[in-house]
Amino acid sequence: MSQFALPSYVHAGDLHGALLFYSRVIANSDEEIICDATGLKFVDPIGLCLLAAASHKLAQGNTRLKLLNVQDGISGYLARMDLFKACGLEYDNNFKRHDQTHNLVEICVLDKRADVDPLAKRISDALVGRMPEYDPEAEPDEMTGRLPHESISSPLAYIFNELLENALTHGRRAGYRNAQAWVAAQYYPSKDLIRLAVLDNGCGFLESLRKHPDMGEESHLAATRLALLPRVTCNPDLEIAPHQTANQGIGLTVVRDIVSHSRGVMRLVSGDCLLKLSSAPRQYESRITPWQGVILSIEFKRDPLRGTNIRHIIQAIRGKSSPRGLRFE
Amino acid sequence: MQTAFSIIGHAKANFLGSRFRAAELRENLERLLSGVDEVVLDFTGMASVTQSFVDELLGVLILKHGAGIVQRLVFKGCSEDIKEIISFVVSARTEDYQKKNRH
Repeated sequence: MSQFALPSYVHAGDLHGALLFYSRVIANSDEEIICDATGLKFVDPIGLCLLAAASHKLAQGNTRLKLLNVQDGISGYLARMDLFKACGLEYDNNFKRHDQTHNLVEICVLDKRADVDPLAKRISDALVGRMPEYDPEAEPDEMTGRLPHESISSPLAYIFNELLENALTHGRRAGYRNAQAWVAAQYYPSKDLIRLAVLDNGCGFLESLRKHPDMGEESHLAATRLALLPRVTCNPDLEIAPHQTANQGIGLTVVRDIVSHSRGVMRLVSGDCLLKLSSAPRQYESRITPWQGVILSIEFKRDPLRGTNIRHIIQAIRGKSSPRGLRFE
Repeated sequence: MQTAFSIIGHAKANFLGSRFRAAELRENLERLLSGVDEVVLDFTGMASVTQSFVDELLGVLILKHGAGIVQRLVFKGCSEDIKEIISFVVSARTEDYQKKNRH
């Protein structure tokens, strides 16, 4: 039996610490691993997903994870976010589940492509659920045809669909057919802040883009940067095998631009690379304890989503090329 | 002969994003196209769609059948976002198809 102390903060702001802890824990092959949570003070969606993924990885090697000494201040939150359930841990505190469907989505495991749409809808509904103007009976705006809350729910649904699609579809290449994704999201009303985590154990950007003609040096950093460029796909030869999907390579680019418009921060980990994108002109990049797959954490203000114009973002990517013969009625 | 294909009628959701759902709809659309001259692809009631969804629905159709297939489609009830996404996908995939078949 091995014992590890959980860091005080397991969150996107310290992915170095969180991944170091993860790598130490999963390196063990003992029958049981004890994680001492005495010092644990704060966990965000990415921290929750990492802990759930660690438990899953350990279970594959028949190792049980136990969380001990979870303090009162945080145990309710971990239970509310279904961490104990996701890790297969018993939790017998007097926890009362309050309805929080309007501002959070508990840890979910995504392993079926058919679940992408319903889960993305669940997340976007949760995160717009209690906007002041949310009115299920509202009439659409006469000019735009949109319902009032759709100015926020549509960009949110766009983000979540593209990220979940990426995690499950593109992660399942190069021998990672059983890859799965962990997802959690939360809206923090006092800061008008949305935090979302999508973490997969798939092939990662480097494996996905290794054969791309624009791939210079073969490194995780180069592959992660390349993945953010428009029209960079893992199937540039356009061959679509039966039961495989195509890919145009702008999903992540559009998500990045929506997040940037909302003055948000996007962190991407693939292999040993951490790339942090924000409205600051310079990207932050760093080497990190390696992760097999892709970790994506985004945080952004909800209110600025109102002004997000997906049409303009895609127009900018399309440039001047214009299709002929399209008939719109 | 022309027939209509309502996206919301088939998918029962007003936002569609995944390639999985789009592939299902594309199979239905291909079946329709094999029997009629034109299909009116009706997006009425859709809040929005993602580029991945439209690419799997229309982009793959172009890669499989050629850019001419778009001449047999009429797009109805599209919001400005959906129009732009369709324009992007059709433009890019037409270019891809032409490049692929030039060699």
